[in-house]
Amino acid sequence: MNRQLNILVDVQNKELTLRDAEDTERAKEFEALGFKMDPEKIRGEIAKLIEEVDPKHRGYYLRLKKKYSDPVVPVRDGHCTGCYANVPTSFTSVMNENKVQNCESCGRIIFQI
Amino acid sequence: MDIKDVLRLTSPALFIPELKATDKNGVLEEMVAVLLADRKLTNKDTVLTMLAHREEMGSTAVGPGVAFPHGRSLATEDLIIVVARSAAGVDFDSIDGEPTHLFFMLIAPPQDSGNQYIRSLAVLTEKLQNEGTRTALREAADYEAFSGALTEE
Repeated sequence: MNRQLNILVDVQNKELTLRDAEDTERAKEFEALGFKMDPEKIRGEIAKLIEEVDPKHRGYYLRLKKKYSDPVVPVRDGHCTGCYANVPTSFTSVMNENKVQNCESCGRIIFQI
Repeated sequence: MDIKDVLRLTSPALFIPELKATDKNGVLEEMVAVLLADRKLTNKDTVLTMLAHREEMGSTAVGPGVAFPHGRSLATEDLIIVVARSAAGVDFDSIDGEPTHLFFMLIAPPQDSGNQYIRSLAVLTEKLQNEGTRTALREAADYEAFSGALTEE
């Protein structure tokens, strides 16, 4: 996968962990089971990762983030899992495998899982 | 939610009776590979990076000889559990410093309305507190015996 896209997927996965860590009740449950939750650390890691994103993709990602809670989503069965619009078959072509691609319908950054 | 509900989230195809890996990263890679093969996914980094970062926040080897690598990932739409064993044990940075023999990897989807993710972790951590259960799981000849040992009262 394109390195830039990899970082953006990583950021999105961390945002999911952060959501659990920031949910006081949920975080308490994790901690009670022995699993550490450190929202401050996760926020720091997200900020650091975002700095690694190429400015042109970073700006777009940050704009998307204001609009959607899930700015980066996988494609499943030929559909964007953010808006469920069809994704053209060219998405999976070798020509495009190294590009950061967007859903033509909702604009979310999409990737193949 | 009880242990039988938790077992519905895994399957014989998601069971590694004996890990080849001898270190922490290797264990995660081997378990993720099984998940990818079962779910016909190709992008291992999506799950692996998430798990590695989760381990950096604090080791998930919280039980005696047991680890629960876990986290949410965009890669899955439902909660999946991969189970693995290592007879020799692996250094998983456990809290007690002892080798880890049993691994329950939980990969949760972005949204989890029934709170299955934490509840499954709670059921498993409680069940694995029992030394007899842990021994039976380590000695089980196959998946059937393993799941039988897990559901035994």
